[in-house]
Amino acid sequence: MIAQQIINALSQGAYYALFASGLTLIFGVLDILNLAHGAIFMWGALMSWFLMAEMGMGFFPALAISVVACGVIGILLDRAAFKPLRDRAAGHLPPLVSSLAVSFILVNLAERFFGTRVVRFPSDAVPFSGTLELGDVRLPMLQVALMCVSVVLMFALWYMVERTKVGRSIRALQENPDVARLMGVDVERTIAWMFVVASALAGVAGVFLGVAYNSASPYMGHWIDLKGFAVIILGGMGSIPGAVLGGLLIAFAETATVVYLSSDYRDAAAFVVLMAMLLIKPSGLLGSSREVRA
Amino acid sequence: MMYNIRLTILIPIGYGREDKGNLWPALDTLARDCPERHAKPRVFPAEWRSSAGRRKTREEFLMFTKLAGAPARLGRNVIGLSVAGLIAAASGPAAAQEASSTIETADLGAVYALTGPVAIYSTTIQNALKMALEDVNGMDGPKLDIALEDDRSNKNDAINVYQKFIQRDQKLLIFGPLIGSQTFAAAPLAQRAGVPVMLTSVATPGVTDIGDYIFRTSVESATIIPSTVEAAVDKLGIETVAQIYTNDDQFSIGEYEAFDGALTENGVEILGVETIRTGDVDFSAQLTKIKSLDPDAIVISSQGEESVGLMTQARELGIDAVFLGGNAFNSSGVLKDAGEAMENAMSATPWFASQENEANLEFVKRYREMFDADPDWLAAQTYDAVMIVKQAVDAAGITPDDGVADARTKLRDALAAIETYDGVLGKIEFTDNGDPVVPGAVLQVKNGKHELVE
Amino acid sequence: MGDLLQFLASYNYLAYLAALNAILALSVYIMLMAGQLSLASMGFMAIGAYTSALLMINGGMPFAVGLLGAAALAGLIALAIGKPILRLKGVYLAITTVGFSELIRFLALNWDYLGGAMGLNGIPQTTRTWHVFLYLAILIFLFHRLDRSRYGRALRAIGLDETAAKTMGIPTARYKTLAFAASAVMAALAGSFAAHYSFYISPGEYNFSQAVLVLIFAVFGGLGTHWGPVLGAIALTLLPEVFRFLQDWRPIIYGVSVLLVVIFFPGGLVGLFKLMIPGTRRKASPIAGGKDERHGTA
Repeated sequence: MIAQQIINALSQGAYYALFASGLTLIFGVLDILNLAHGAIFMWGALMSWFLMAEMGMGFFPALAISVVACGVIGILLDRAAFKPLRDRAAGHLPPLVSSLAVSFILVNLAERFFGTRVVRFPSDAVPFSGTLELGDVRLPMLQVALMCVSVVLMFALWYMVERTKVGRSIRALQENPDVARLMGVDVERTIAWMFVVASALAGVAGVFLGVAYNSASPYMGHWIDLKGFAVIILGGMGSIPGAVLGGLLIAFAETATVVYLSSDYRDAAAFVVLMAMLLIKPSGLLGSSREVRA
Repeated sequence: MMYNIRLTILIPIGYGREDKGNLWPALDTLARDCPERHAKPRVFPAEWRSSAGRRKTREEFLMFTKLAGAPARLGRNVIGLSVAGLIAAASGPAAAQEASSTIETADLGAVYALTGPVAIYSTTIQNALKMALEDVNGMDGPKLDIALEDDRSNKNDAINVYQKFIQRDQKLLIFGPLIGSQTFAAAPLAQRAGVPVMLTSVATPGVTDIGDYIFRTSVESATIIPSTVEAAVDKLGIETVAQIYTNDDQFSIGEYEAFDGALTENGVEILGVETIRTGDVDFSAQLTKIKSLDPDAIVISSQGEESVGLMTQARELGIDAVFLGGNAFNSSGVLKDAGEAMENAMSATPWFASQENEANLEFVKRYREMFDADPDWLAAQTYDAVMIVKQAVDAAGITPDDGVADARTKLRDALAAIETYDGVLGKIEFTDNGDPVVPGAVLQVKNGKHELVE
Repeated sequence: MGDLLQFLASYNYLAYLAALNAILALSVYIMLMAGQLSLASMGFMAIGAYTSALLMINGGMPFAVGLLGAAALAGLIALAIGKPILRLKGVYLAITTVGFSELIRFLALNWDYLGGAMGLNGIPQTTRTWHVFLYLAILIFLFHRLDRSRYGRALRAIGLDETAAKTMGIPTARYKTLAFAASAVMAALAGSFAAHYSFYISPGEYNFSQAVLVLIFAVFGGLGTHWGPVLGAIALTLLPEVFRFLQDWRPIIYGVSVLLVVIFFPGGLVGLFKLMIPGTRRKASPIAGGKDERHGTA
């Protein structure tokens, strides 16, 4: 049973990490909380459902189209809600509210396009069916696929940030935007790329979560937003490995709460861990030395 | 009795004589239909003067509208009657002297979640309202008019709509809202104002305790759940169970508690209790824990979305216990979505589509024709509710002379006087509290279909 | 008069709700004056609501005692947790305060004495609409005084540049904690008034979405003066009712209006009004318009 619970926590942690890595990327560079991240995640799931169930597409084309579309929504989000505020250095509060407004709009559009019910994916369109059995432990193939995808994507993301030109620009922006600009970094282009990548990751998480739990609705983004924030603070804002570690830690804390305490307390676990962390080491597990206290 | 009313009609500013729109033909008809002696429309465009040519004061005007029983509207500089109010003012007294002394139309309101997270449940309710209205208005007696408003699935909007219905629109009765938490917030307003409320979907315990103006056709799970447990013990030989329920949803908690009592009463051992939250999608931790308990059955008290996830994930984890559930299990959507995972699952229902009573056969047939979809229990409850209200309106004998407060009280008394009703749900008996008790039935899933457990 | 009364009766609840939201927006605003983004108002609102409801239902106390108890408990909790929490800045503070509210909601959900998810039913309805209006009026007056006081100027100074304020000799930690306690008391009283207005409360009312809605009220109205949050709350409370005829497009209109105001009018609704009335120059908001904000508070 313990082995099964560890597997449960690992696959839950993979979702948290995938979702939170985009959030942390944006926060690391722009110092803003993107409250529309959950809405984009939701669009990824619903769009892939629409393509599979209504347009009769296979899983992979639907995944590809949804993820690209999420990237596009990411750019639009930046143009509509963040860029105008960035241009006048509006501080961290207005972007929070404008991204929330975009999230309202995205949720309502989803209600209109896809309806308000929870939709189910057509079983024949989904690959990786079946369950892996290792002794007493059972693991749906989809979860295995997701964990592999998460690992690959996290490595790719880490590679992009650490080794590529775009990544260097992103890191330069993280360090100091003004100096980066002087050094010839195309700030707007870098930020646009960052939104594409972050939103595409949200889309991947949405598609996989939707398919794996066979459920998607316009409201699925509401709660994961909150969890995502806990994850990125826990891991250290702006750190990709931190997001992975934070996601796993919260998933394990939640599972342990269910196993050893009671499932009543599951939702409190994330916040108890988070608050303890903030009081002990506010910069998070792997956070930079960015100033978080007065 | 003959009325000798001298009717003066006041025209709001903006309707000039040259305006040949809807107003003047309506006035012409009115003048023709009202015998000279009983009512005499007089038209005062732009501003109104009494026959003596003296300008009427505001007070006089308001007194007049009050006498006429017509709603008045406050404009910027002038008070005028809206066209609708105007016709009502004229036809009210005129109609009053005819043989039939009851009102022609009962104005009712309905508030349901047409948008937002629980809007999914209101589709069949809207259909049922539409269908019931069509049927009711083909009958003799007063017609029903139901104004449907949206509350965005939230409590404050439900209160706003209630207040609008109670105060401004002067509705005689309110249908809805959809869920318990909205009802606990909004229905006390109606109780205080003396407006009857008919709930058609709220299965949460305790809503009828709000007061004697609150009625419902929605069956509380506690009344039918014991039969599920009895059937499970009898037919399936269940001895041990694990329970799992949504602990932030009142409806699910009500079901959980009903199950808890019934299980103990029937000597079934409860090995463990787990909880989930509304909107959760991953239940693996809780289910793994349940798996290690190895119960004969798992009792699920949740809404449909979570129930589907629980059942499919339990099967993925290799749990082969049978599922027992509440109202959510009766939904055809849940049955379809859960698929094979739901085989052999048992639940009790206040209503099922293949029920053989005549009203139901007709209802299901007509519903399918009209909407090309299957009705659910909410549709059945809503349809019966409209029919019951119609019966109460007929019996109440509300006359146009009745003030709105009297009309509401009469309607409430007529509703309270209905002790049984034979409708789509079958034979409903109402408790003194206004709660319905129906025969109900236990269903079991066999080959992907709901079948009646004899 | 009859007409006017009837109109007021129909929209009584809406008016009450607008006033209540304005009070909540002000409780967020006092923290924003000091540059602190706190989303704890829902937690304190819940504390206030449950405290006074239980004092009346189980303790048999009069309404006044319930209100006092609610205010006192919220104030004490705020003073106790204020110091460690307010060492955090920017979004760290925001998320920690969200965590605090969630834990309070969680407590209400799991503690049987508080009614669990079923909430508390049959709360004595002692709140009259004018109570809430009077409360709002008193708050507006107090904010008016605050703006002109040493304390208010100190808060603004902390909002503009905390380090500089500290070097000027302002006891920033103490002032921030006091502002936090004031914000908590304001929200708690709003919570008790709301509980005794509506007969029924449940944990679900005090969730994260409500907390960010209150924040939206404040930013939408504008953060230059205390009239901003008040106007913003009133406007956004009325908006869905005004657009009732749009039916299920209403949420989009809501989102679009908020987006447009935040993007195009840095001063919020108040800034918009000031632009339209010549002769009143817009004064830059220390929170929304601060220049070096990103590095100061992140």
